[in-house]
Amino acid sequence: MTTQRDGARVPVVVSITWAVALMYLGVRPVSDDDTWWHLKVGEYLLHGGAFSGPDPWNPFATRPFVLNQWLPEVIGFKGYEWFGLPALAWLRCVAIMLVFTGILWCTRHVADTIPALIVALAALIGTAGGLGVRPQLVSLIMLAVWVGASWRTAEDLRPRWWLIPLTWVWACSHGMWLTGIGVGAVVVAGLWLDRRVTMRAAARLMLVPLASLAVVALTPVGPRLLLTPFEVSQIATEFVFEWQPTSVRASPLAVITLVLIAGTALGWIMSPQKTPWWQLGLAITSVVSTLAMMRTIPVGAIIAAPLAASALQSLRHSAPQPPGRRSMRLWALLVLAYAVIAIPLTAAVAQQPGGVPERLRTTLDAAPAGSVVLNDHTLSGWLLWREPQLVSVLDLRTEIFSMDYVEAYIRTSEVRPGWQDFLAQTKPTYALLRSESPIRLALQEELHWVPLQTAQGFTVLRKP
Amino acid sequence: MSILDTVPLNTRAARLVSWAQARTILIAGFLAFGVIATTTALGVQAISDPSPWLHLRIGKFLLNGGRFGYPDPWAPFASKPYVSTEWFPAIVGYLTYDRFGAPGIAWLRAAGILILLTAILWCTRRVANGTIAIMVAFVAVLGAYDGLTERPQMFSFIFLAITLRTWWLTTEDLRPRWWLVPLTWVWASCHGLWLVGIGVGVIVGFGLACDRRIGRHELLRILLVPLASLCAVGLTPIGPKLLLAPFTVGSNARDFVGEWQSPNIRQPATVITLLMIGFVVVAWARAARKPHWWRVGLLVTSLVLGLAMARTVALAAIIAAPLVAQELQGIFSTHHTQPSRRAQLSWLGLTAIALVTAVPLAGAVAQDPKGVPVHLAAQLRQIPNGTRVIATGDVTGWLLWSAPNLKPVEDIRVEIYDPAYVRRFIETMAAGPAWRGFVTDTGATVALLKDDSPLAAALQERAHWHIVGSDAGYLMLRQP
Repeated sequence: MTTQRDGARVPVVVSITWAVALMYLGVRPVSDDDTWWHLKVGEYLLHGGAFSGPDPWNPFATRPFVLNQWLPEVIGFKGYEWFGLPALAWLRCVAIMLVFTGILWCTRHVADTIPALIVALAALIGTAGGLGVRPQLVSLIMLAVWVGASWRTAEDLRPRWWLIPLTWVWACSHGMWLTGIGVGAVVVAGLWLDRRVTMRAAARLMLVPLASLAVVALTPVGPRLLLTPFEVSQIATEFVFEWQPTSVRASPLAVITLVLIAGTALGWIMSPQKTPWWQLGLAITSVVSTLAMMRTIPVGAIIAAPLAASALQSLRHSAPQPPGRRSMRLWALLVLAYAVIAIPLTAAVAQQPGGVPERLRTTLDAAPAGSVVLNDHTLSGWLLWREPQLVSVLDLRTEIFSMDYVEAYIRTSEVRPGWQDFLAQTKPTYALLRSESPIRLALQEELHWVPLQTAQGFTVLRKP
Repeated sequence: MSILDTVPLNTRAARLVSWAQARTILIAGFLAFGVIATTTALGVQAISDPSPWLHLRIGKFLLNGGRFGYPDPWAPFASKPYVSTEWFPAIVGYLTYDRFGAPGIAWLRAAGILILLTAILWCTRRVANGTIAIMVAFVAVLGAYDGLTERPQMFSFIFLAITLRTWWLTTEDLRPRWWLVPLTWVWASCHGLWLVGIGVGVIVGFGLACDRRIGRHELLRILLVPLASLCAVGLTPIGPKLLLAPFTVGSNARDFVGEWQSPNIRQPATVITLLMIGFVVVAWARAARKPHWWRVGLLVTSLVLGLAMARTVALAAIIAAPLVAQELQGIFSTHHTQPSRRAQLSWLGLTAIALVTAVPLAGAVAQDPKGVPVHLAAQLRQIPNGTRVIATGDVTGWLLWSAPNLKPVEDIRVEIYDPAYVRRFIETMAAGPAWRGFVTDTGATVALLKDDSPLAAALQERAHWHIVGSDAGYLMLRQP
C-alpha cells in the first residue's frame, strides 16, 4: 500500500516494522481468564451439545446458557485438539494482524500510506484491552470491516449488501454484532441529515443494517440471540470489571482513543469547511463507546481510526493516493509471512498457559468428583476446563446466575457480615482462592479450613 | 442568520416565534423565577457530605488559637503536618454553626449555589440574551451539582466563574484586570483550586497571542496578572508552602480518595457536563468560521477537567457555560443586547428573596444531618480521652468534630499520612491479611464502622469485639 508521495521504501520499512511490533504483541502464552470456558463450550458443541438451554455444568445456574460465540469456540477447540495451546496463541496472533489489517483498510482509504499506518497502529493500541484469546477478536475484525464499508457507502451512496451475510457470521462469533449495525445506521442517518440522500434513498441504505439485524435471528441459536446483548449486560454491568464505566485516568488505552478523536475534532474545528453529520455521528459513537465501558474502548478506537486518518491526511492538503494493486498484494504477502513466522514462535512460547495455577492441579485432581469449590471467579473457566469433575460456585458466565446469587458470592468474597450464608447455601468442601484474599484468611482463621497447597498466588483449602 | 430566520412565514411555527419574540422579557422573567426557585430547592438540604464536620473542627481549633504542626494535634499516626489551606471558610462555617447549628451550614450551601448561579449567569449573559443565558447557567449548575456540597470548594467554583468572566472581558478589550491578583489571594485563603483560575488566565493570554490579537509585549503584560496572582498565593497566612499544597494533597488523594479518581460517566452531572462540551464541539465543527484559539484552549481545558477527576467535573461545567451560551446565541438569535439595570436588579432581588426564603426552609429540613451516627455522639464522648479509634474514612471528619476526646488512627485528611500506612489501613478495612496486625499496632480499642463492612465482621467474629451501639448504618464496637 505504498504511495509515491511517501517514497517507495519508507512505507515498506514502516509496514515491516509494524508487523514485527504486532508479532511482539501477539506472540504470548495463553493467559486470558475466559479462554478456558470457550474451549469447554467448543468441545461441548462438537460432542452434540445444544446451542441454548439449561447450563450443562453449573448446578447453581438459574438462567439458560446461550452459546452466542459458538463458531470461534468450535474453531478454537479443534485447533487446541490438534496442536495444543500454541494453536490458540497462533490464532490470537493472526487475529491481531487481521484486526490491524481491517483498521488499515479503513485508514488507507482516507489517507496516504504513512498517516494510515500511523493512525492504524495507534488505533490498534487503543484496542489492546480486547486482544485476548477470546471470540471478541472476531468482533474487532468485523467492526473494522463494517466501518470501512460504511465509509465507502457514505462516499458513493451504494449499499454494501455483503455486510448482511458477514453479520450472520459475526453473530455466530460474538455478541458485539450490534456495534456494526449501529455504525451502519449512524452513517445512513448522518447522510440524510447532510441532505446527501432523500428519505427514500436513506431507507434503501438503511435496509443493510435492518436486514443484518434480521439475519442475526437466523443463526443456530435462533431469534433469542437478538436479546442476548441486553441479557448479558444486565448482570455484567453490575459486577464485571470490563463492563464498568471507563476510568480515563486508569486506562491509557482510553486516553489514546480520546486523543485520536480530539485531534480529529480539532482538525474539524479549525477547518473552514462544515463537517458532515455522518462523520460527526461516527465521532460521537466513538466517544460514547470509549467512555461507556472498559470493554468498548476497542470499539471507540476502531471507529476513531478513519476519522483521525482523514484529519491527519488533511494536513497534507491533498487527496490520498489510492493504494495500487501491487501494494495490496505486498500487504497480503506480509500478512501471510507473518502468519507463517508466528507458527514456530507461538510453538516456542505458548506451550504453558500463563496466569493460572497449573502447579495446583495434582491437589485439585485428588478432590472427590462432584466436590463443590468456592473459587476465585477468575479461575472458574480454567477450573471448568482442567478439572471438570469439580463444581465451581460461580463462573465467568455471570449471566447464567441470578443477581441475588452473584451478590451473595461477592459478599462472601469480601467477607462482609453474613458471608457464611453463601457457604451454607452452596456447601463447598474445597476452596481455590487468591492467597492474599480476605476470604482465604477468614476460612482459615474462623472456620479452620485446611490449606492443602499454595502456588502461583493461589491456595487450595479443604473444609475440616 | 439564526435558525429562527429559517422558519417559513405565515405558519404556526412562525406565529409562535413572533409571539415569543414579543414577550422575551416576560419569558426571561418566568424562567428566572423558575430557575432561582428550583436552585433554592436543590440547595436547601440536610448536611450529607462527610467533609463539613472536619472544617467545623478546624474552624473552632483555629479560632481558639490552635495551629497545626508536627505531631498533628488530633491524629497520632500522621507523618506530615496538616496545612489548613481552607482556613477562611472553615472559620466562617464554624461561626455560622456556632450561632445557627446545622441549618446554618445548610443555608450557607444554598447561598453558595445561588451565588454560583449568579456568577455563571454573569459569564453567560455577557455573550447571550437573557433566556439563553439563564438556561445555560442553570444547566451548568446541574453539571456542577455533584461538587456543590457544604465544603470550601464552593468558593472555588464561584471564584472560577468570576475569573472566567473577567478574562472574557480581557479578550474583548485586551486590558489586564489587576484586581484578579487580590481576588486570587482571597481564593487561595479559601480553597486549593486557585490554580485553575491562574491557568485560565495563562490559556487566554497564549490563546490571544495565537490568534495574533496581541504581540509579545502585550502578552507579557497580560501574563503578569497570573504571575502576580501566583505570588499573591505565597502571601496568605499559610505562607509560600501553600504554592505546593495542590501537589502534596494530590499525591495521596489521587490513589486513595474517590473524588480524585476519574468521574463515572454514568452520573447525570458528568453526562450533562460532557454534553455541554460536546455541543460546543459539534457547533464549531458545523460552523463555517474558525473559533478563536483562546476559546479552543478553554474548551480543551474544560474537556480535560471533565474527564480527569470526579472533583473537577464542576469546574468543567463552569468553563463550558459561556462557550455553550455563545453558540446557542448564534443559533437562535443574531441580536445580542447587554442586560438592563432593571433586569440586573430584578435578578438580584429574586436571589435575595430566595436567600431569605432559604432561612426557614433550612430550619425545617436541615436540623438533623444525614449519613452520620448522631445518636452515637454521646456514647463516643464518654470514652476516655486519647482512646484510639479505627473508623471508616468518611465518618472520621464527623468523629473529630463530635468526639474530640478520641484519636482516629486514620482520618479524612489523607494527605498527612504515609502512603504505605494508608495502604495498610485500606487493607485492614477490607479484612485483608494485615488487618489484625494493624489493629494491634495502632492500639485501637474502639471502632466506628459501616455495619456491612468486612472489618466489622472480622472484629466481631474473629476478635470478639462487641457492639455497643448502632446508628445510621454504623456500628460502634469495643475491644473485649
